[in-house]
Amino acid sequence: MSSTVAHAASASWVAVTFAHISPHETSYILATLISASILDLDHLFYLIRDRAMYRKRGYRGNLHNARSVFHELLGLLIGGAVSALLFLADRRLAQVVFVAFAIHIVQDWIVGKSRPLAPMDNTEVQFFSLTFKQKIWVDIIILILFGVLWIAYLAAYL
Amino acid sequence: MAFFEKRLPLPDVNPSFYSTLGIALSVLFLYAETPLPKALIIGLALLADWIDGATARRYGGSSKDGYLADAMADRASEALIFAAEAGTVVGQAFFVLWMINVALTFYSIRINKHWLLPLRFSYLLILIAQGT
Repeated sequence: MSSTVAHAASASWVAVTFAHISPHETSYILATLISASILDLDHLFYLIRDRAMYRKRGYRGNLHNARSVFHELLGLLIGGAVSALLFLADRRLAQVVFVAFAIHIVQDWIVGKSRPLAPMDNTEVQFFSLTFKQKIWVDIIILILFGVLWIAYLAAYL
Repeated sequence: MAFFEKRLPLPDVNPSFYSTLGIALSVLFLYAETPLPKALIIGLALLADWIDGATARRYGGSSKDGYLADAMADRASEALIFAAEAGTVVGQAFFVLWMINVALTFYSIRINKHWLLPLRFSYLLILIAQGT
């Protein structure tokens, strides 16, 4: 799983650039940053609830247990339904919010372990078997790459 | 398709590599603005999806979690493509069909049968028709 900052930086950049959002449209940018990172709030709930287990086993390799169905296929479907409703009020907002939200989920699917059919079926799926060190590197590369892309995006409008 | 699949030189790599490539192409689709590049990207994403399955079948990687990974990648790819196309009435209809497809994914696993809508392929045909 990538860090929340890496999700926010990458998913929101894709959302704002694909929809041609200018840096002056701060409400859209804020919305993408929130939708790209809000999903990680569910980790807090599980980390607090299962703190005894995490203290015993450690966080490394166990963080995929600290995620709700919002991180799975059902979450993608709920995100789609919410943005379909949002679409009735503001089409652009609905698109950028959904794209940022979907990219966060997809990043976690690719980098970490997931249970796509939860809560109906708890079969675990892992796209790539990455070590903790490799995940850290993926995070660092995403942060550097999208840090540069954010600077380029903002500089282009100055 | 089976004829081509048997003769296709496929390297023994993790099929998820192709699934990830399909998702990356769907992110690229967000930036495509005319029917031709859109059709090309969807075509490549479908090809990546097919090679992913072919690799799994050839090297004995077919399993429930492999099928699930493939289904996840397909739904993610469709989500991004139809979110990008939600500016048109056809795109909106496909976005609704994508939501039905997610529900069908759960149903397919439950009944152990592949009951899904070929949304990207159908949309590819629409794009080709628009482009000609």
